[in-house]
Amino acid sequence: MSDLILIVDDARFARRIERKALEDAGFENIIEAKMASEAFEIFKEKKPELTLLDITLPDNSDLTLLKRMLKERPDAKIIMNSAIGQELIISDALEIGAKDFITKPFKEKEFIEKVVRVIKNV
Amino acid sequence: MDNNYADFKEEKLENVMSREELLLEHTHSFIVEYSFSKNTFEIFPEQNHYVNFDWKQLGPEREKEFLKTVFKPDVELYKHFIDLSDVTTSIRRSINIRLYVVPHIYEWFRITLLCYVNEAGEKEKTVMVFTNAEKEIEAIHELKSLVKVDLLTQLPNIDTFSMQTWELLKNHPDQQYAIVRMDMQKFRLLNQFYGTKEGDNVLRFVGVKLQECMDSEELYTYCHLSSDIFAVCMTNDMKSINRVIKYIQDSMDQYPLDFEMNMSFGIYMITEQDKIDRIPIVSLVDRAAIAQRVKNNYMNKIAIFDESIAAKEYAEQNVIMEMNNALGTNQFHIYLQPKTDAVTGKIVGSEALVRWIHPTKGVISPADFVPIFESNGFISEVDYYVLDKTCATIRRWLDNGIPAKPVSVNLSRANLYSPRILNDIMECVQKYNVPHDLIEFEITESAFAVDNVHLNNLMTELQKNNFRILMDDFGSGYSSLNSLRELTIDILKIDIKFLPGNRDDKRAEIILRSVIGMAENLGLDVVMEGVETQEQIELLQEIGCKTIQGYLHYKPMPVEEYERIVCEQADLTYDGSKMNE
Repeated sequence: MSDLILIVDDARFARRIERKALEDAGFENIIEAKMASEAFEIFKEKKPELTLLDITLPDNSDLTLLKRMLKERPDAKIIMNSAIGQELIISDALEIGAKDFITKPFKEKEFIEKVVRVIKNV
Repeated sequence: MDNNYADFKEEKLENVMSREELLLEHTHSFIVEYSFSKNTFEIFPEQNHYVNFDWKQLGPEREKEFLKTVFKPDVELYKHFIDLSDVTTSIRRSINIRLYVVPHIYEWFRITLLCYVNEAGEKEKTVMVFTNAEKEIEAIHELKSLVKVDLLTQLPNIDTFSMQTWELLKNHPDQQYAIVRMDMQKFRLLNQFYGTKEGDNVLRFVGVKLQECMDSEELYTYCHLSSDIFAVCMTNDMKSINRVIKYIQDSMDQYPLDFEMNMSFGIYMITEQDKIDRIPIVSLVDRAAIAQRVKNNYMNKIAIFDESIAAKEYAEQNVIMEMNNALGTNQFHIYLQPKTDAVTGKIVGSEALVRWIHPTKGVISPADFVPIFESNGFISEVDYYVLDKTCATIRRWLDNGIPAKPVSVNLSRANLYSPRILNDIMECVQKYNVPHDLIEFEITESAFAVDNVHLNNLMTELQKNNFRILMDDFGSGYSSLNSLRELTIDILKIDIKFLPGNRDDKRAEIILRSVIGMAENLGLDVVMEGVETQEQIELLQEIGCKTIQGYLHYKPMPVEEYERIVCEQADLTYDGSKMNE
C-alpha cells in the first residue's frame, strides 16, 4: 500500500485532477475532503503522509487550517495548493511551515515531482 | 602463440563490448532479448537500465511484473504493442511510452521491437531497444500543446474551442446552446497598477475558476481567447448561465487584491440557422461581444444579444459596406449651420456639417454613421472630404463676391492622432488658396482629456499658421477646466446644457454667467450653441454673450441656401446659377 495522501479542495474539478495525476503516478491510497472541518478530522485520525491543501476553503481563512494541522503534527508534510499565485501568500504559507506550494493550473509532471520530493524529504 | 591470439581476441571482444556499452550509455538505451526456443531473457548492458524494474527477478511473471513499470495511462497501448500473436513474418515496430524511472516518476521512452521469424514461420527471438527520449518527446508535446492551448491559463485556445464547440453541437443536436463571453472591466488598469505579472496571476485564476465552475455542467466547451477575454459554450438555460456568471464574479470578488474586479458578460443564443449556415464560432463570440459593447456599462454587467442589437449590427454592416462608394459618388454633402450675432441676428460665420444623402435611403442621420466611422477610422476620410469641400466653397465665395465669413470644420478625435493631419490641412488650404482666418477647427472637449501634450503641439502649429481653434461641447465632459488651463484655445463653444431651461433656474444662470465671465477673463471668444428660445437669447444678451448658434436663428442648411441668406443680409442680389459655377 502506498503512502496515504489527503486532498483538501472545495472544487470537485480540482480534487478530480489531483486524484487522477496521483493515481497515474502510482499513488493508490488517496482520500479527499472538501471542507476545512472535515479535512482536519481526517488529518487527525488518519495521519496522512502528505496533505495537499487548497488555500481558499469556504470555512477557512488566512491559512488557519494549515496552522491547526501543523499545531497537531508539527512534522506534517503539507503542500499548499491555490489558483492565487501571489508571492506574498506563497511565502506566508512556507514561513508557517508548508513544505511547498503548487499554483493552479499545474502541469501533471511538475505536480508529481513536487509530491515525490516532499514525501521523500528531498 | 595460441595464448597470445586468445588474449588478442579477448581484448578485441572487450573493446567491441565497451564500445556498445558506451553507445548504449550515451543514448540512454538498453536492450532486452528473448529467445523463443530457449525461453531465455538477456539484458544488455547488465547495469544502468534507467527504469524502475529489477531485471534480475526475471521469473515467469516478468511480463506482468513489467507492466507495473509502465505509466498507468499507457498500459493498454504497451500491451497492444508487445502482442505478437498474429505475427507470421519478421517485423519491426516502434512506440513512444512513459515508464517509471524511480517510484512515481515517469519519463518518455522510445521502444523499438524486432521480432525474427524463420522460414518455417516460427518466431525465433525478439529484440527490444529501450531509449530514453524524455527531453525530445516532452519538447514535441510542449510544441503540440502550444497549438491547442493557451500557455498562460492552459485553457483551450480559440481554434481548439471552435473545433470542440462544433463537435459538441454536432454530437448533441437536440440541445440548445449559448455562447457566454466574458472579460474584465479595467483589466488594463490592473496591469498598470500591479504589473503584468499580477495581471497574469489574475488571468490564470479566472481560467481555473472557469474550469471549476463548468465542471458541474454536463455539456460545455471553454477557452481563453486573448488578453482578459474568455468564452464558454453551454446549454442556453438562463438558470445555468446565471450560475456560471455568479460563480465567476463571486470568485473574482474573493481575489486578494485591493482592486474592483468586475467582470462583464455578453451572451449569444446560438440559433438553428447558425448551425445550418455553419457560422464560425468566432463570429458567434463576436455577437456576444457586440451585446457587451452596446449594452454593458458599469451598472449593467450582463448583456444578451437580441433582435434590436441584430438590427443595429445589420445597419452598421450596411454603413461599412457602402461608405467607400458613398465618398466616391459624392453622397456626402456639406451643410452649414450659421453662427449669428446675438443682438442683430446676422450671420457672422458657420459650422460645416456633413450629411449623407443616399440615392435610395434618403438622408442618413449623422448619429447613424459618425460613431461607426469613428470606430473604424473612416472618419478621417470624411473629415478631409469636409475640409476639402469647405475650402472649395470659400474659394468660390471669394471668386464670386459672396460675403466670405469664417467656417469651422470638425476634427474628429480619431483623426487628431494621425501623423499626417497637419500636412493634410496645409495642403488642402493651399490648394484653394484660402485665407487662414476663414477656416477654424472645432475639437470636441472629450478629446482633450486623452493626450494634451500631443494635442497642444498640434494646436500650436495650427495657431502659428493663423487658424483659430474652438473647444466644442464645453461642459459635457469632466476635464474641461483642466484642459482650459493647459491648452491655449481661441474660442469656447458652450454646450446647450449650461443654458437655463427658464429664467427661474437661478443655479444654471449663475453657472452660465460665471463660465462666460471666466472665458472673457481668459481672453476667449464664446459661441453659445443650441439656442432655441427668445427667452434664452434675451438672457444671453443680458450676460454679454455675442455669438450664438441654434435653431432659433438657423438650422443647418445646404450651402446654396446659406449663400442666399448672407447675400440678402449684405444687400447683394443672389444669383444661384452664377454662384454655383
